[in-house]
Amino acid sequence: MKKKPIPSFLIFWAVILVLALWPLVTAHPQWVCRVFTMAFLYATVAMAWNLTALSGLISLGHAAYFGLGAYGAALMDHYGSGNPAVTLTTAALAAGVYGAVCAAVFRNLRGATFALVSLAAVEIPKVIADNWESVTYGSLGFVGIRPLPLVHMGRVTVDFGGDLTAQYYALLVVLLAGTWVHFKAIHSRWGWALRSIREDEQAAGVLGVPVYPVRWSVMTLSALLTGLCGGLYAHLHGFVEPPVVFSTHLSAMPLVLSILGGRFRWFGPALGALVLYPLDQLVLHPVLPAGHAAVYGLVIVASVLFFPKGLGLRKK
Amino acid sequence: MWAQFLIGVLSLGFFYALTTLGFSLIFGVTHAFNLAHGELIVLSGYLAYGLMKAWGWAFWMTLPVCMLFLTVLLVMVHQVLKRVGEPFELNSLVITFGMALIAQNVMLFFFSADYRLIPTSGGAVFSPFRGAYVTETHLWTFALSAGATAAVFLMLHRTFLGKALRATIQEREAARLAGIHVKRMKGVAFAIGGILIGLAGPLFGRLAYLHPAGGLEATLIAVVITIFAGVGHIRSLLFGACVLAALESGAALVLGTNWRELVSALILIMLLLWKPHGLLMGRRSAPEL
Amino acid sequence: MKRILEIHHLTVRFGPRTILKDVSFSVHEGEIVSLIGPNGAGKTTLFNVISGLVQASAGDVIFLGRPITGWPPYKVCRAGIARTFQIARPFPDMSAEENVLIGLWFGKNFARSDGVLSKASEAAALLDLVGLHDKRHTPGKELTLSEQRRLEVARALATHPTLLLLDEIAAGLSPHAVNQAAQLVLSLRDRGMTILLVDHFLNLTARVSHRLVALDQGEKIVEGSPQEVLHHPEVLSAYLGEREPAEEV
Ligand SMILES: Nc1ncnc2c1ncn2[C@@H]1O[C@H](COP(=O)(O)OP(=O)(O)OP(=O)(O)O)[C@@H](O)[C@H]1O
Ligand SMILES: [Mg+2]
Repeated sequence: MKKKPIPSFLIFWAVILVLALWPLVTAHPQWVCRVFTMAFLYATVAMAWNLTALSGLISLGHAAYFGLGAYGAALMDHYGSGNPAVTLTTAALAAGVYGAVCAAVFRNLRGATFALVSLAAVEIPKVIADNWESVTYGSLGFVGIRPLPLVHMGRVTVDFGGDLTAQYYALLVVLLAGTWVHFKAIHSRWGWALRSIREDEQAAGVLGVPVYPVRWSVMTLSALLTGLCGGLYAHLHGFVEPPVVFSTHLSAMPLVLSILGGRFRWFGPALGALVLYPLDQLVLHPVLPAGHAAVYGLVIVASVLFFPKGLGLRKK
Repeated sequence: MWAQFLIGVLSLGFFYALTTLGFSLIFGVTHAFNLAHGELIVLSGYLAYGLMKAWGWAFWMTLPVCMLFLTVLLVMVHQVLKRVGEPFELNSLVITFGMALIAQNVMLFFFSADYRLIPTSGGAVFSPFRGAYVTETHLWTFALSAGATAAVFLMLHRTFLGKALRATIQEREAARLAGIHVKRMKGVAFAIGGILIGLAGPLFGRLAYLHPAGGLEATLIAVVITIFAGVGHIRSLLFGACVLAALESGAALVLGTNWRELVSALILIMLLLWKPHGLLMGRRSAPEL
Repeated sequence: MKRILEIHHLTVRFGPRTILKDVSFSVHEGEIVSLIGPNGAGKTTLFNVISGLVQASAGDVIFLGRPITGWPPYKVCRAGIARTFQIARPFPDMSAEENVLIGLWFGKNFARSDGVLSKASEAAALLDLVGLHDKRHTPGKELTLSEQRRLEVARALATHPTLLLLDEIAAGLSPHAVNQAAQLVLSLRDRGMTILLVDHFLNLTARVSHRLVALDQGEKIVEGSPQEVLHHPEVLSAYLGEREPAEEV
């Protein structure tokens, strides 16, 4: 990673360029477009997850934030305003507040203990969403969340709700914004603070790095971004239900995508997502409609066994 | 009413003890957090369900097959975990999380996402008090769980192998110095864990719906009770299991059935906040600064 | 002389054990004070309390007239106290230079380093001072023990401290490296740095320090000039039967 950073990040830009141009120059099937739209979404989730991981904590519970975001947007859409600016803000805030509370309450937990607690923390919003039937419709979930709206830009009208290509470009922009945040979390003074905390928290503290404030804010930001993605998911799919948006699978996915692409490179999680998710959806899914997601589990097992460095778990 | 509640709690509590025993033994001996524990229980339940459905086997006939199958599976898991590097606790957690995902998808492939229940006669077998019924499922659960727990207890306290296992749990380095083959003990722990998981699965399928994603709850229960009781203390494990069962049944009674799932998650969070070093507390040397 | 650091009736308990019991002393400007005491006397714990890593059960730490008891480590550092660790803890995957840069970017002058990540010349000067210039690109985990210790000193100096806490910088080193460490401490003294030192090598301690404070089982037994303290009967008996310092790792 240190020796030759140029080639692989060029690959990333090449992939982005191809993805940006491809819908313009070829006639493309809509479902491929859809798959890549979701790939951009999950790439952003992966980078949001990696913000927490960059501070040295492996979370197995980001589904909590994703689900809270999705439910936040759905509830706002149903009971309040359907304006996406409002619903998405609600989504980010719902997840961000829960993330901030978790970060504060779990501030002394590390390693395996933190991973376990983060796993358990998903159950709280999940069980509430599943059982507070008068508000959330329980396990039936919300149906009919309004799609993203029409946007008038001068004389051009873009239909983000119905036009898959428009959604594709919208999510590409989200991905690039997420990548920028993730870039800053590695290549900036803030990034160095995170790195020193990851490598040795106490040494970082006595060298003047504000360990708790930095970690708390990065975890809150991580939850906020994940929640935003959850909100986008709600609008893109039109329905949310507890077993889907709070699933273990959603907690595992960012971990897998980040490990695959390289957790310590600014473009790593995004690259991992852009490779693995389409591979899973376009190649494996048609072959194995039920059970194709086992590939994510296989990647975890293989990377712990063969590339423990990529995971960056270190003996303290 | 109260008698019925008590009967339910006792049989559920003993069942929780059974689910936890395997996890706790594996954790105690190898320090591996097996997050796939619940998925393996559900898998074993599905196996029993499949055998009963496809070939019309009786419930009791599925038990040995499930136990054997899960033992083989757990020995394979052990072969994988053996190759995991430091920090072992966190790595084992992450890798078994991956295994849980694989197991979920395997179950999805074979049994689809539908909810299934191992059919039971449902009727009361006898009624010790007015208005309290003991069903066949109660009896099966109670008898098998209590039997297995007693067997493990006797094995740990009366046999040579059990003493070696306990020594490994308590003080691994000292056990090694005393000539105990620690690596072999790890294999033994996984094998016994496999037997116990294999036994728990079919019971799980009678008590609750089988669902590919339904394993997490069982894992959380096992983790909670293990952390509460510490490793290798069967009596406190049994006590913890019954307390958890009582709390869950109480929550189900007061709030509604599904709120019960919240209980173990909340208890886990509180336990870990209270004992941040989890299970290994006291076994570590004071942090060196 | 101005008092830099005052410790007032400091008590630390871990569970039922009392690690430090009612310890008081102070350090004046430009002084080198050594804390001595057998294993487990509580010297490192005292450093941990001063630097904010461990909470005191009672008592106060006053730095430049301000109470800093209970402050988080980064505030203590930015107030002007830097420390090294007994078991060297460089950031394992960062190069020696990057290790020092962390101190420069986040230490006392953190506000001034805003935006610019270039402090390379200052880092190079510090690495020169401790003799690690050639190793500036080596990752922390690949340095030898003696190099790691010196890196810790450079990193601590990078935060621009008023007071430097050095925890056993000579333990486990070869005689040659011990001499180097002594030279380093003396050169810091000549630059007017105030230093609180913990060391097992009583001859090194005696050579460089103005005053000694002797601890035993968490209590201060005596304080004074090196001659006084080293010949004090209680200090002798506390050390008697102790392992040879050379066996220390
Ligand atoms: N975090 C902790 N929890 C419990 N006990 C601790 C902790 N840190 C230190 N101790 C205990 O406090 C006592 C004093 O330890 P300390 O490290 O301060 O001694 P020391 O004087 O630095 O000894 P040494 O010369 O070996 O470095 C020891 O008995 C140690 O076991
Ligand atoms: Mg010490």
